[in-house]
Amino acid sequence: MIGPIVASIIVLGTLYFIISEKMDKVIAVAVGAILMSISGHFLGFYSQSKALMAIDFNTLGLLLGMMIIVAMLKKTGFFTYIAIALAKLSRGKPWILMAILGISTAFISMLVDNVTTIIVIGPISILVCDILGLSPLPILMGEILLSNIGGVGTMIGDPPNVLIASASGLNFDDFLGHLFPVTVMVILVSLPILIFIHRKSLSGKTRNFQAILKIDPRGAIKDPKAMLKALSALLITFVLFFFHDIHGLYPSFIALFGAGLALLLLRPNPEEILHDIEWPVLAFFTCFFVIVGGIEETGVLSLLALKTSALAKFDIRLYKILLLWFAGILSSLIDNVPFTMIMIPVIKSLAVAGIDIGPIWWILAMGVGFGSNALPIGSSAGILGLAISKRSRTPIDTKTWFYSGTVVSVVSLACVTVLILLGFF
Amino acid sequence: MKAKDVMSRDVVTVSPSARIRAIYDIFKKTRYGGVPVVDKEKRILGMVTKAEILSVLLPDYFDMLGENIKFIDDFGALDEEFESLPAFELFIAEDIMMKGAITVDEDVSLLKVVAMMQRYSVRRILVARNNILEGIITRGDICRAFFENRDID
Repeated sequence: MIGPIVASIIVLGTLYFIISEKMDKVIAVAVGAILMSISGHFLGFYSQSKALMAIDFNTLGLLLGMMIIVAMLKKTGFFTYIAIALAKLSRGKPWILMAILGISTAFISMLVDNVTTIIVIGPISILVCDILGLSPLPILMGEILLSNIGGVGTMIGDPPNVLIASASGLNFDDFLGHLFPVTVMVILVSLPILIFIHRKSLSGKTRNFQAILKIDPRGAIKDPKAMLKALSALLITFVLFFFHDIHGLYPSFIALFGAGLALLLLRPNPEEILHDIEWPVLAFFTCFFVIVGGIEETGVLSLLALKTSALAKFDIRLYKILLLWFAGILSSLIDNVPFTMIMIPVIKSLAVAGIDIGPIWWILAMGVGFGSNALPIGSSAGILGLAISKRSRTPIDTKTWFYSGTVVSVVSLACVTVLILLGFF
Repeated sequence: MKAKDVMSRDVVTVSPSARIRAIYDIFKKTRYGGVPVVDKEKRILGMVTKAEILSVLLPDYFDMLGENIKFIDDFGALDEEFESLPAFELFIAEDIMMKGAITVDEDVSLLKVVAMMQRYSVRRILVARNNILEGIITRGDICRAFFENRDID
């Protein structure tokens, strides 16, 4: 009995330090992982070999591979090129600019992680707004929210989806078939709402549109050949994801193949590329895998699943709706990665209880993805976007976030609720 | 030679509430490129150089644009604003100063002063004891010490 109690304390303690930000979260999970492995070894609920096996190298490889490809693509100036070229299409109308930049941010973050999307699109968008003499606030706000929404749309759009793909065996095409249409729907619903909320600062025409027209976006591209090479590596990676049925490669090997191809074609200085990889993210995943593996071994999580499976058997729709909103609310408060990792074994145990968990995976992905927009602290893109916005002259304040982010988040989750009620999930 | 042998003890300082124009006037009159910001007890709070004044002129997010400013020649509305900059005169030393400063004790060797200047890429080093300002050493002071006040046998 002591094992489950100790393991639970370690999990709750680690989560406390992650949420309270009393220490760096990588240190919190590293200490948690070590404590879990050692106490598990001495109390007999977890073994060292099981701790090592709990680390999902498929997830880590997929994340690492994509990080390497994106690090190289980022350096070519491709994203700045896209942002400027698209801004020229707005014809000087602020709301069109917001729609174009918002939609392209959503689609970029389906291919690239949300944080990178905001780093590459955010500052250049503020500059475009400043050149136009426009408040950058609504446009940046829209980009942050739409990057989180877009991330839900594909298997690699957001870390929770990567985790779910690896744990469930659902593949790239499954995500494309189930989550992509919903994501497009949520984008089409959220964008008009955002434009309406910020209609005052988006009305009229900008007076300095000529200045944008004068910019040649091709100037942003540092090396056109390098850009084409990086883009083709990314494209080949996606084609391989799409045709996984034919070759049967794991997502991690596909992403690492793409990364290897990009490295081979571009021959960058490896040290520079390694520097661009977000090692803290990979370390966080590794350690949290060990922690979740420990609590899973004690049976606490399957007990949790068993308790809730009664409700699932009673009314599966109600269960899905509750899970959606529970995941949404929790991931608006904490990073959605630890929550998803804990939920994965819980959902797997539901399958043992005889429940069809196919749709449950999608509910989890949409809940954590759309819910993370409700508060700025709910997502890394939100935290970073807020920091970027603080450097502009019209920073996003809590009230603006409440009117934009919280509203969009609730509307997105409400859309999914309707889809559940209609029997789509 | 020690720091105290080359430092100027008569340091022009500004208070944290000094207006940006007053600081510019000091630069113009004295030909200095930077002044320490000190409180009434001569405790060092920071430093204002011409670089700090220039950075007021640019929006904060510009450092995140990296090389992306290379291909843009006309900044539209931003250019107009740059030239008028209504709030510019309102800035005071406290808003724009680089907080803290590179300081040395008056008894340290001159070699250390030179090494600190190169390491932190600063043009002047403050001499202080317990963060109370005692003097300033500029690159000019060091050059002078080496080229002019030496007995070459």
